Amino acid sequence: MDIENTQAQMRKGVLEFCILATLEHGDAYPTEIIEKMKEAKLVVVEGTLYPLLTRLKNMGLLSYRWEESTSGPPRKYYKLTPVGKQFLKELETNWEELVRSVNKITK
Amino acid sequence: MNKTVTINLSGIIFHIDEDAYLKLSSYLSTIKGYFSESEGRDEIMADIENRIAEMLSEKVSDRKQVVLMTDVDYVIGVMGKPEDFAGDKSESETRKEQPVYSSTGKRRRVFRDTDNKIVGGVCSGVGAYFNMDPLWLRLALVVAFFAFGTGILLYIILWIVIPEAKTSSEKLEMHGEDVNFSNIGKKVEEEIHSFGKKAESWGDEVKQTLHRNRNLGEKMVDFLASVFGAFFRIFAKLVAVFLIIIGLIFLVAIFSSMLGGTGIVHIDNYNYSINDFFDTFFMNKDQVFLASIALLLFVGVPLLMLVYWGVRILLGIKKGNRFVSLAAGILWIIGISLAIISGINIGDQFAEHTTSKEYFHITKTKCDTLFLRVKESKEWNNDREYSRKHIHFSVKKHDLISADSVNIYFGFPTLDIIPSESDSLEIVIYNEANGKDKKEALHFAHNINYEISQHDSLIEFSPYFSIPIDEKWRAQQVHVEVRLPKGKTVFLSKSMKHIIYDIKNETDTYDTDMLGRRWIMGEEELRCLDCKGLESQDRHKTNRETTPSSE
Repeated sequence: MDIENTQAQMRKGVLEFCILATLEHGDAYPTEIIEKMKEAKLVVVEGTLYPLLTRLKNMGLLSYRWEESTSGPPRKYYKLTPVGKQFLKELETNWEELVRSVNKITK
Repeated sequence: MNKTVTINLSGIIFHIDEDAYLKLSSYLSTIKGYFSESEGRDEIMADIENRIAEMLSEKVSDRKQVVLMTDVDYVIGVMGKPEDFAGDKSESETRKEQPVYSSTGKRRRVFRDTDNKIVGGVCSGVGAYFNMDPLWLRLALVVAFFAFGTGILLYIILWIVIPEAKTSSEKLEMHGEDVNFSNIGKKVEEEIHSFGKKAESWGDEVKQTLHRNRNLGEKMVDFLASVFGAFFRIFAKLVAVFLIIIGLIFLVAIFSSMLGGTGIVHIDNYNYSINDFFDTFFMNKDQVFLASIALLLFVGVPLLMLVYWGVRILLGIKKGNRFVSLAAGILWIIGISLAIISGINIGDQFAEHTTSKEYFHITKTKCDTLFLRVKESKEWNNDREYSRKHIHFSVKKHDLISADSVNIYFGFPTLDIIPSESDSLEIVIYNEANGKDKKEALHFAHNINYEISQHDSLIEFSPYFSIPIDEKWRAQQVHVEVRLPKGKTVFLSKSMKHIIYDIKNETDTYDTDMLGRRWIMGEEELRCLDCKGLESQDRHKTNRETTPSSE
């Protein structure tokens, strides 16, 4: 098993959590989301975000609205639904527990 | 200088270099291959295209109006390579390999190669499609041209069916990835092979996560669909070849027969063509011409369409020529109309039915018993020699219709034996025919020739009646009545088999059982004189049936 693959798997696991987390502070369209992810060095390429967003939307965690853009086609602005907020809260507690457990083992 | 293509991406128009366009479109179709319908493929693709449109619109300005290869490379760099999509897919690593169902390379399509054309670029285009030198195709066409013009017909059809390679991408596709029978077979093999691999990894998946059964099911359906798709394509191509062959054979047959070149039926040394058949039905050349056109359109157009569709299926041409179907439809309807008019023309000719009566004169006979038999002739007995020379509408090895250079012979007349009203033996011949009026019908009835001959008590009937070769066919028929006085005996020879027709007798014996026996005329019907064997058999049968009930 190569290291890259393991890293990708780990990143993938938290990606959805991070998307939800970025939207907690306000609505955003995919390019904004990706910028934040890139700052945190989480996502390498943009294209992979779209399937995830669509999936989260289909799960009822996200909703979106169209907004006109000055440059190019209209943009999809994503927003957390109440279910999404609830889901995010659960994930946050889970995440803290997970970090604690991992720390306990690795230290 | 570069050729540009105009594309619509999320409602925005871009001018894009052709090579850049090819790269972008293959990129998009590859990505598309990574998503299944249920994952919301269309929505994801719309989002991605949306984003690409946004990025590209930043790249173009009034001064730089065209999207270049570098722009597409930039977009792909931002969005991620197709492999990234596979790697980041949520479910598993198995799709890291190239997706099987996405079309990466350009499939080869058939076009007319007008750059290397001699007439319409058909041969050079088809040659490119099958990877062969067009010279051979051209030679084959020239050879086929001498076979009743099949070559030229096929060429015209191909010319109409196959689109011309106009753009450079179409010219590329013309030499694209091979598509042929062995290739399709290979593809099926590959699919089965990759299915095996997938099945293994699926097995692991199922063990790990049972809730992914839904996905497995979907993959199975996907796989089965593609395998059946491949088989269906092979089957379709075989059907296409069949259609083309059948269509061409019949077209050539009809054409050549119409033009009077060859007959569709061979009689003696004379070729009987469709035209000749029409001649026997219609009164004048105009009607024959009308019927010929009707037949040509009514049968020829569907045959042409058969070939047209065959070629389209065989070469995988999806875009049809709307004009072809429309023209074919109109021509066919004209064909039907003409056929109906011709039918009415014929119907008119059959409007009236007439019977003419003719007496055959019997001279006195020495013997009491009258022998009836069918005249032995070369035609009647020597089947083998006969069938070599004549047409073969035959029943039980005997020809129903035949012809020589003078007459057309029809089989069979019908013969009945009824009691005579007087004391003398009479034979009446009823000649029946149709015509457009009574007078004409009578004319046709009179022209029927039927031969009966008498040698003392032996009376011989011809198995045929005839009409002159240039006579029209108007449902001519001959019925013979033998009027037998009471108490007179008659013997039916075995050879009468084909012409006796429902002769009344006291024992209700079937016609075939009446042969080879002597019959005597009773008050109203015949009675058998030497049917003892037959009778006893019958009685035996009835006895066995009645015995249990009587006891």
